[in-house]
Amino acid sequence: MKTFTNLVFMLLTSSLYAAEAPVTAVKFVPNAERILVGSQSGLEVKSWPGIESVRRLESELLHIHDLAFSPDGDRVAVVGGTPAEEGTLEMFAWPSGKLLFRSSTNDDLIYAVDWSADSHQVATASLDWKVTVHNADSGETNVQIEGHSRPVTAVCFLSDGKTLVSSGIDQSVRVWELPSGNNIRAFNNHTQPVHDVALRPSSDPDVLPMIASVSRDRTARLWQPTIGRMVRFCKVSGSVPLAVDWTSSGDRIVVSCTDGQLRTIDPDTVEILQESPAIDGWAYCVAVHSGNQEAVVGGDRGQLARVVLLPKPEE
Amino acid sequence: MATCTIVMAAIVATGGEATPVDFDTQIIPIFTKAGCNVGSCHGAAIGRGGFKLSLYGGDPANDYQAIVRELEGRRINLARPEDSLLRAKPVGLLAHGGGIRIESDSDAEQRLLAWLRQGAPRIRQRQVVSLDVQPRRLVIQELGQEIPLEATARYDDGTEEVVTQWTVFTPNDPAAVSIDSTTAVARIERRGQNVVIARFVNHVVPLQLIVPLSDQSVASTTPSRNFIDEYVNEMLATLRIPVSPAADDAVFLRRLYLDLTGTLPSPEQVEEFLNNSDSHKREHLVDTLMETDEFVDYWTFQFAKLLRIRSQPQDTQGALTFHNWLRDQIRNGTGYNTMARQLVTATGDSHEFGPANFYRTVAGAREQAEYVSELFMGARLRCANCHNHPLDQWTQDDYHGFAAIFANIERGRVIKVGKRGEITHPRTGEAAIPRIPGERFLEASQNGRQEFVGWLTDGSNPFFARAIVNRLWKHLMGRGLVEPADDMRATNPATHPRLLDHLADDFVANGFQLRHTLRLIATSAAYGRSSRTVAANEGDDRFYSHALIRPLEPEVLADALAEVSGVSDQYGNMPEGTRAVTLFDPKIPSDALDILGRCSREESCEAPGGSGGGGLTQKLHMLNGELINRKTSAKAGRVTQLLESGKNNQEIIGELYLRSLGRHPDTREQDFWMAQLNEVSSESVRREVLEDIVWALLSCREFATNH
Repeated sequence: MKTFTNLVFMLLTSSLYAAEAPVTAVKFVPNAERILVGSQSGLEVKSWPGIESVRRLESELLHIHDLAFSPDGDRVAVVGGTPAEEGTLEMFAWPSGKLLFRSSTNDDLIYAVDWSADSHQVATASLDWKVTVHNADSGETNVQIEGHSRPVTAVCFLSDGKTLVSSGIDQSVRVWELPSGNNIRAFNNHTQPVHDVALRPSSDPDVLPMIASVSRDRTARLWQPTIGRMVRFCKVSGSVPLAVDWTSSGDRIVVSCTDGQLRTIDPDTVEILQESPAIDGWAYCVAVHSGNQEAVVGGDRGQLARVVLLPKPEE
Repeated sequence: MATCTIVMAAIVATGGEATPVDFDTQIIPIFTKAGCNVGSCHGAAIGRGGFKLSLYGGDPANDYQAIVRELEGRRINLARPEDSLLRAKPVGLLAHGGGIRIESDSDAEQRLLAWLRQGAPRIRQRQVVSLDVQPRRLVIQELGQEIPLEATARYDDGTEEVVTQWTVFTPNDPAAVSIDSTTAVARIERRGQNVVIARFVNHVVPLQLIVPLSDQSVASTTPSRNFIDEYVNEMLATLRIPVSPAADDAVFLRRLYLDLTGTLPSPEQVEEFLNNSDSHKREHLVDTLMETDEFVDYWTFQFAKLLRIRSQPQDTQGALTFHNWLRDQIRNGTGYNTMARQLVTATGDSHEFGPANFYRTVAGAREQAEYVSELFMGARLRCANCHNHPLDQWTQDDYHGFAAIFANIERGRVIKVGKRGEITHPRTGEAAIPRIPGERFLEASQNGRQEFVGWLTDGSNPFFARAIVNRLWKHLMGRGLVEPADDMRATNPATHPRLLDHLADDFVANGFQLRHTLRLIATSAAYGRSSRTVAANEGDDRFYSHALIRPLEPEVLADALAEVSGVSDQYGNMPEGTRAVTLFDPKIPSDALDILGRCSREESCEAPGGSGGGGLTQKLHMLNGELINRKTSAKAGRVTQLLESGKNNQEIIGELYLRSLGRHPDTREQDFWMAQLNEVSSESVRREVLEDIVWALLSCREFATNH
């Protein structure tokens, strides 16, 4: 493992005024030429790799905690709300940025969102301990699942569209069956709240799905949710991982951490391949460019940083 | 550098907020003052409502993360600071389980908003180095008088600030002192020595607010024999508590024998002392008793309880070796500092080297840290296992760092220092760095135990001497200057702080000699007072206007019962006549001690009830149990001895009183018993009456207590 400070481009996106809100959501737009950034300051499209402001989307969310583009690329779901009051899903057409609907279905912030592979549903995780599946066209609630015993922090669909995986402050990773909302499994190996989960990209239907999760217990863990097994885990020494993403090839896990660093992990060996300082402070979100050669990290005080990803070493 | 840049920009950008708000010293106190971080709210170990703060703001770094960063900054909104959850809940804009904690438009709310508008930064601008609260000690004459309190914080940047508004004033007894939390004006509602704890950030200061217990001044002729009396008498005069007269010689003699040797004086020793006209006979007796084998036995027993000497499963040899070593130290007058050094640094075969058993007392490194701190520092670090100590200076770094000093000790029959061993710090998940608690971190190359004990036994150490002299004081005076004796902290101040300091300094100056301090206390006028109260000192339980009556420890009581009845108890396979206080192991079978109650030494014997004794079971047994009845009626017992001695009834009654109570019977007692004996019609009935007399003496409170 090496530390590559020279491969980081720290680009503070806004002026250094005091009340710069932390970046809490970031994704590459479908054509990967820009990024969409969410924070308490709103939604903003920024250039890539320049990270300069391009335009804003008119969100009414006081807090924004996650966003996700539909697999077909014509919409973007943005979630957040008002703490302790409401959790809201906003759906925008992409690339126009026109608001399609706004749906407040929860009593506390919606913290995470993910799309089904067919682009017909979005699932959300919220701090009122619920997992909700929405109709992506109308925002109506298809299923609302109450199974976590603490706030839910992340959610993702498996490619079958019938299985959901969520994680929570209750230290669990749970697997749900749709549309029944039945809890199939609960993984309790984490010893602290789980911050994020992400599905390994794969186009091979014969390959078992794999989920990566990261937790305050300073581990990243790999699961096979359909057979109920924790495959391996990696200890992130010296820092707490906050967010996780995969390279599109599925050969690396990319995590952002409380020490502002980005780390890449080999999912097969759980070796940390790369540790790169990204921002100063907590790095709440990370997204990997579809080209697998760079990532964007967002966090404290509105900071965004571009980090070059090193290729996985040849065996 | 980047951080500094941002903060400077923050100050400029917010215009009116010229002075950046300091999170540690200006925001944390808001939450403490509002009660947000108390144990019943977000300061609970698991927090409340998903929001956890450190208890009383003891860990600002973690509090900052919880407030600003957890859940991606859910609790604050830097784009719209006034919409922050952190403000909305305590002010009442949103439903809050804890209700309204901060008034709208109050200074607290304005400061909170200012900090949020500045970007909710945490740059450690300054640290509180001291807290001065006035009045620190105040004597007033009337109840109900208003006393304005003022707190001033001094910072490491040289500045100082009046922080009364942000200081929490907590009376130890809310029924005795009321304090307006807004104005910080105190009113004393009850006479006596009242303690108020002032808390600001991580500093606590105890205040003494005193109203004399009486309007009558006390006599200025209160005797003084050494510096102890000066402090005690000064406090009594301040509180206007009259003192009881000196105990008579018989009471003093019995008290001293029990306190120094754990034995009752024999009839001959009582008579000799009562007939001695030397004006310094009490001082001479103290010196004499401290040279006896009984003194060595008894103080070995006392320290065996402190050191929790007990056998291990299938292994009694270690305890025996440990006990023998301890007895040698007591007999030889080894300095307490030397004893501590030998114990803390011990390694080797516990069957051959007594101090090695010190590391067989508790199970692991954390327990060892707790035990060592309670034993040698009189401090309870255990709270700091889970969070910084709410009432003391101890942090989690102290606790786990101190435990790390003992982490590499391999425990078994042979105590060894292993090559590995670490303690995981629960907050960081990393190995804790060895640390002398409250003092400094240690380098990996340093010998932790050597460094610790060097610091511990240094004459300037603020804990070591105070902890032991407080225990010695408690033993002789019936109450520690600090209670509980293993809970010394700023928020639990001594009744006589300067006396405790002076005793500790004197102990150090005299080579850490236990006998020296025992002699000092035992020869004070305060020690020699009668336990009989006089008008207006009946309620005194801590200022030593009269002696405190104490129950005899189970082992001492067992020995006293055996001595007076003439019937010894059997302790396991120990030789007949073995005294209970000489037992090296509390697990040695004994019906008598099981009845009377004894400390198992598995845990501290200083805990309430830890030393055993007292309790309903013991009292019922003393009144009508097999233990007493068997002894009084034993054919080879005291009654038989006295009957066979040819003594008349009056002589027998006299000897029984001398032997059990250390005094002659008074006329009323004498007449009563003689009347009973004069009515007997046969020797068998006479014996029964004498057995009743013995039973009555053994069952009475005067016998079962040291008074």
